[in-house]
Amino acid sequence: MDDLSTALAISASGMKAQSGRIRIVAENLANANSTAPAPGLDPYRRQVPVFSSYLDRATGADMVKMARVELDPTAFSLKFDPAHPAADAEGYVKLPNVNPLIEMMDLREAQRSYEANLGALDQVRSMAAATLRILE
Amino acid sequence: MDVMKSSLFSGLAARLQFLAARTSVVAENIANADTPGYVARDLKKPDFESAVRAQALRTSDPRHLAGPKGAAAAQTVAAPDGEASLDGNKVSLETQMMKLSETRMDYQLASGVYRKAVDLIRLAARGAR
Repeated sequence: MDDLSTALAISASGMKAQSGRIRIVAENLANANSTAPAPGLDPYRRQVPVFSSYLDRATGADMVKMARVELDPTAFSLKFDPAHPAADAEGYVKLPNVNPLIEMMDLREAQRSYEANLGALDQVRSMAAATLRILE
Repeated sequence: MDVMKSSLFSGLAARLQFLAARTSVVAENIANADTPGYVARDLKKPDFESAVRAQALRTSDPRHLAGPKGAAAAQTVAAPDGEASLDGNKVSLETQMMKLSETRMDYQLASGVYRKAVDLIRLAARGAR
């Protein structure tokens, strides 16, 4: 594959990884208030995407992928709410370890990286167009 | 004389090839801007000496090897953008975007010169109208 097509494929892998990250952030945000279904069980645990670069054999380029999704081990916060169905014997409910503020920051960062990849794609496209103009 | 094999065209073609290769290296950096431990890379700029070395070796026998030629010899080197972030990543999106637009402008310059040179040959072939 020529270098310009390789560059397009690399940018596409970056955009795919970042959109996967946005999906995980959306899951976290949507479940920011998902408590456990019954007392004694754990509520929703925040997911953390992990990126890694890998060598794409077809192009010989370092692409990026979302290698795995891990669970955030930080402790759940407790809220005193004896009326809640998931409250324990002392009346405390475990809340998910999702901080919407952190998720929004993560979302912004993913958006910024996605736009950078999109910008790279656009530049490569204009370079290919410049090559094709030689034919005119 | 094969006009498309003249030093002007082969030089411009090598330049375009180098810039395209650099674009894909910068695209790798941008794609890996959030990968922990990833260090930004760049292509080594060709200097006069390497350009001379890149010329195909003279062969006096058809069994001799011509050696590597042109932009294929461009080396990828680590070029970290300043300090590493907490996850060990050494890519600055701003620097990479700057490099990318710089490469695009150079590419458009080289392809523009190529186009003008083709126009000159066209002019010579059919005469001014």
